[in-house]
Amino acid sequence: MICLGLDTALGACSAALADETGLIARRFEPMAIGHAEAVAPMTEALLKEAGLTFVDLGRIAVTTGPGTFTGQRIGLAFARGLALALKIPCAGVTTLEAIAAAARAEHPGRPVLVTSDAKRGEAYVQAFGADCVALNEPALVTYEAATEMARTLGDDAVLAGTASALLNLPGLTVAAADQPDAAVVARLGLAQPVPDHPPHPLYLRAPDAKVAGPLKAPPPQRRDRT
Amino acid sequence: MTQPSLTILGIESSCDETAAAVVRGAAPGPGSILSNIVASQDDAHAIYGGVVPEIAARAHVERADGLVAKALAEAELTLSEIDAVAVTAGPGLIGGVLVGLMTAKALALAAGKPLIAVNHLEGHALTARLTHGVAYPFLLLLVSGGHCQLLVVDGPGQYVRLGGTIDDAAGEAFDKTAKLLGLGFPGGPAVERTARGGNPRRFAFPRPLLDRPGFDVSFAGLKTAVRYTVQRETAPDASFAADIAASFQQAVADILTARSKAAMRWFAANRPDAHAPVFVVAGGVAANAMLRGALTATADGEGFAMVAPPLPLCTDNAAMIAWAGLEAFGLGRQAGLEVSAKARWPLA
Repeated sequence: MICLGLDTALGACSAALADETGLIARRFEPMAIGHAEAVAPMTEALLKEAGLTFVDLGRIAVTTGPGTFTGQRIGLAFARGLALALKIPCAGVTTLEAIAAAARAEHPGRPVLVTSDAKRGEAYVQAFGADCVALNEPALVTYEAATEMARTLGDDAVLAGTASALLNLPGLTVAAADQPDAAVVARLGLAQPVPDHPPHPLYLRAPDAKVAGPLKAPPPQRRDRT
Repeated sequence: MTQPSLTILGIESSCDETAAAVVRGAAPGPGSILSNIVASQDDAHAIYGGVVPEIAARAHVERADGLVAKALAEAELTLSEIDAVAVTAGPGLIGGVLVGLMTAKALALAAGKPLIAVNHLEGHALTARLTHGVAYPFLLLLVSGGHCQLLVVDGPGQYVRLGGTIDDAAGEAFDKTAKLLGLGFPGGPAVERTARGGNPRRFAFPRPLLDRPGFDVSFAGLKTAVRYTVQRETAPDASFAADIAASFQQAVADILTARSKAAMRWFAANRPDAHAPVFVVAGGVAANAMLRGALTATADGEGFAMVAPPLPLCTDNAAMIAWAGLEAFGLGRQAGLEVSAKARWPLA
């Protein structure tokens, strides 16, 4: 079964095709903005390069986040639209597990702390043990808390992700992989059981919105002259 | 030459409604609406007293694909039987627009169908062709939560903007008045309901700009006047809220009818070939029965036939996007897969 992997959630845009035997084709472009313009033509070009068409696909896999909210939705809306049109399942892969898998490929057998910069002094984090098992749920924590998490993983821990350099951990190894890669996303998506519902975004941060405060003037009809 | 009939899937997600529809027909219309699904998010935004862009975008991404599936199912069509996919590419809240746009790109790419990037405002502008087959040129008053403008519509993509609001949209003024009176969100229907039985002459709210020539309108001063009146009143009587709402609504009606009347005279002078001139009122504010009545009377007085699409097609929907896409596609207009979402996209 051929899986189309997609990622637009962070600082790159990528698309890749893989099946059980390995990677078929991959495109990866670092970019801070422009994912919405890039990903559809990139997907079209990728299939052409691989000599495949959409009917050859058996599954879509896409990063769900955490990432930039808009970036997450660009990939998810696109992936879910493809899945609807092709009547095939769509699997969700978190950006943290995608980055962790790439880091582990670089440094086999070592624990990994993925830390993506979430700005405002915070990072999206998830720790993975040497046995590849996630040690915590994806979380949004301060840089200091992320640093603490890395220390508890031990001296052979590998840091991965854009917040790695922001943590005060000079001794630890930093993986080259700091963005999700659609090639990894496709591989992880293939390994999942058949998804029975479309993937949902993983935000970890609430929208900026204030509940309407007390009205500047109290509702007049509630006052009574008597 | 009559154009062949086209079947278009439309997708809309530029504010707080997620919508998908299938429309069939050919210019000049009317067309048939095979399905028209709208999922409103009013509940999600009510406690904030207005639309929160990030909350809207979050809701769109959960719903867009499901609504498209539902719209196709109701139309009893598969994607392969659609001629093209039309989608709102702006103007609007960019996070939401992107969700619809990416969904449409995926559908177009995977199904091998043309993609049409539609201006949301053109959707409102051409609804009267979908519903009534109104011929070009016609005069349009577009009044919604985010827009208020008077336009001459000469054809798809061909607009002459006569004037519009220099500050707030009319719908915004309704929402703010409703908020001041504690009536909730969205404010339009709440203000209209409250105004029933109210005295429209009790408060002399300003009608800004009407002492000047041109077609521009302003609602900011009106909104402020309402706020001061509400805040100053320490012992409101039982009819206070109703009278405020009625007086406010009357001011909006006076402003819109005065400018519409001037625009009708401009249209009559500058589009003399339009033998049976038509004045179209579109956008969510056109749902207000009192305003519709006032505008109808104005049109009658100037010899214009007034056309206001049925209420569900005045608020945001995807049938209007499908129709605007149908007209554009009929003229050979298509978008590439790289097309961007636009937060701002004036018609003229």
